[in-house]
Amino acid sequence: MENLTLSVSEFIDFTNQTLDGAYPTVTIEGEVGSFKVNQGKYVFFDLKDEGASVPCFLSLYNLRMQLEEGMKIIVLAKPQLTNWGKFSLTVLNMRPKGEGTIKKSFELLKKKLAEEGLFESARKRPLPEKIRNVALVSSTDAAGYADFIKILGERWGGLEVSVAHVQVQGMDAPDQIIRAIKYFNQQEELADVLVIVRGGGSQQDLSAFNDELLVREVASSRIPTVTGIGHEIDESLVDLAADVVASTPSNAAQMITPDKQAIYAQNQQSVLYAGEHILRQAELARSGAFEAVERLGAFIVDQVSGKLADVRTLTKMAAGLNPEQVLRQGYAMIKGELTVGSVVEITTSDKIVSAEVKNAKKR
Amino acid sequence: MPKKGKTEGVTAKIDELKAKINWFYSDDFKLDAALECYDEVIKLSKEIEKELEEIKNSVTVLSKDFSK
Repeated sequence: MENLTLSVSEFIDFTNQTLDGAYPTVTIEGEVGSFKVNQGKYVFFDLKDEGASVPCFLSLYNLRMQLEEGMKIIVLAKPQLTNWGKFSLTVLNMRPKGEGTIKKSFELLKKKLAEEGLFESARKRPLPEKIRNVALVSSTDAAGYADFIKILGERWGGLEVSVAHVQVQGMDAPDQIIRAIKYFNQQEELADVLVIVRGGGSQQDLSAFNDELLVREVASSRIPTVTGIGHEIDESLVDLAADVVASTPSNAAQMITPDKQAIYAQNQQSVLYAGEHILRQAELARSGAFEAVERLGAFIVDQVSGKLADVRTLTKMAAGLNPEQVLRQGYAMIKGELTVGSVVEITTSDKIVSAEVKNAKKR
Repeated sequence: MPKKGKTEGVTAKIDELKAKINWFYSDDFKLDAALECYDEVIKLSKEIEKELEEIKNSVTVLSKDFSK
């Protein structure tokens, strides 16, 4: 090298080749300083710690989280010497580091995307009533994936589940998930639902789901989306952009399938109620027949009773007209001419007497 | 051996069962036809349970590498 004379451009190229061989990419953790966006296209900031600082550059398009002075971040970058002899890091990817920065970055991006209407409830689509094809984005090594598949199998059958195995944490996770979402959305026959699941983890682990490009990809999916990321208390920006949010991977499986155990129970109850209904109807019909017979009986009795009363009255009246009955009451019956000197026959209840008429006067 | 298959048949049976159950509470209900219909309902309910137990999900992990 000592005997080699290079032009300035050659030196810079040589240096960059050396850097590329030694450090194709580096991952560096530091604090953001001197953050600025030039011409609405280029992002510049310094990454620093207590003793040193290095300038960083990236295009605004690749800025996938909201940056502010003082934020702690991890960058994946390519070291480079510019044509002006300035050393800098070209940032390929970045993630917030530490609870405070993660929260701050989350809130800033949430505000920005909310103002664009990405989380509007009017954008949410209902899931199809009958789901048959499921596009699943997850890591097959993750506990959340196993939970999802297990619950799915316990609840329903006949589903065709296509799994895109991706990283669900780390620097590469957002891009892998984005590729998987794009893949499913580019198929000729779309799945009925696209599900993204990942089990619980630290805020740092779950921060992949706050990536701006990933959030936008979920929001623009042609397939209705369901997310089951982390635990009940976790909320990511991807959740906010999804059509349906499940609290966990297991809950995501519950939300896209009917429960066959519940169907069995419901069927059994319906069958039981139908049986009881038949018995009730039969009982009603029987009591209805009894009532009719009873009513007919009562009518007949009423009619017959009326007739009997008439017969009794007539019998009494007839009895009252019988001469023998009158004689038994102390009266007498006289036959013959009632003139002085005539002989008449007097009949009582127990005797017949002949008598001469001694006197006769008008009353 | 668990059966992999479609649930269209079983969902149609679930719909059919619902329709038959609804008949019991409709104006078309007739006591003399109820027992026959009730037998059908029991049979259908058992078939649904059996078929749902037999049909399994199919899970395919895509060979595509999403890291590139």
